[in-house]
Amino acid sequence: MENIPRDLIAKAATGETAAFREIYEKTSVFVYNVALRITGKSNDACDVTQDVFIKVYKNLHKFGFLSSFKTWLYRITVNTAINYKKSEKKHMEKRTDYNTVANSVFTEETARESVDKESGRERVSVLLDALNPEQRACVILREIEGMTYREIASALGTNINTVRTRIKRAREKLMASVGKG
Amino acid sequence: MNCANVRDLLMTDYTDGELKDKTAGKVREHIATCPKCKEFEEALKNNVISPLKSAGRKKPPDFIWERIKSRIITERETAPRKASLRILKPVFAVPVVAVAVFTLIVITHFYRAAGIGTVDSYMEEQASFIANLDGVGTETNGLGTSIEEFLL
Ligand SMILES: [Zn+2]
Repeated sequence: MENIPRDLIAKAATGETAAFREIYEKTSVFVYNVALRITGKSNDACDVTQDVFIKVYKNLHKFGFLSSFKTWLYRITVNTAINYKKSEKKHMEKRTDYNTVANSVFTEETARESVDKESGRERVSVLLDALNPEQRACVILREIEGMTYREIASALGTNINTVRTRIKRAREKLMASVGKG
Repeated sequence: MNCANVRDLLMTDYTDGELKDKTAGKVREHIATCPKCKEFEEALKNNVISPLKSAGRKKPPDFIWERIKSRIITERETAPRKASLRILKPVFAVPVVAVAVFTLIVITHFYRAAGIGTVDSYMEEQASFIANLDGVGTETNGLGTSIEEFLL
């Protein structure tokens, strides 16, 4: 994600839609893709992205430049996506009828993706499916966003050791899921 | 450095570039001389690291911004109303109600002391009058209606 100039944030905080739009343009690819990889569905990624930017808009005036805007946005994005994924899981466990429907949607989407893109695309979704939301978040921020352990830790509000452990467990699971563990 | 140490680092810090050059060098040396760890590294790279690293990024659909924009407009319109409602937060409600009750008590005492306090007897009269209406029957509907209007 590219750096967001301080004066742009200040402008957006006063309610200037054009400034907020500029922030959206600079950061929405990150937000959307992290949401997409954590939730596993493009519809959910759209909902999460929308929620994230509404949260940012509502709280921008409280953002005091004490932390970096990027870290703040990382944290909102990851938390929103993880909570979305978890609440969805709760719903699905309670309602088996809905579960079946959601699964069929997911299968359709996966099938369409493998037609659209090379096979590597579909493998990502299948691989990530083996992980819990926290492990997914760590792996995504590391592999897809190229963040360091320190950056991931501050994005998740945790420490480096927890990040390291999650990444290790995630990779162990992934190795096992492809039968090479 | 033994195989277990090397594989731990392959799963984490070595692969993610978190090691100091000296330690990373030791891992590299081990892998160069240990076929099992070399195999492990390759399996990890091919099956786990590369598929995720090579996953492309997707462009978010344009309608997301449109949805956000309309939510922002709604937010802006409802925000001032929310601000004024904050005055009625529970924190403020307690003293406000306390002052109101106190004022009422003071006024009641003042009126009683001044001898204007005929409110009680007036209410009693009204109550007995309305109670009597029930016994008068359906013929006096007109009167009942006007009394209701008067009381309202
Ligand atoms: Zn070895």
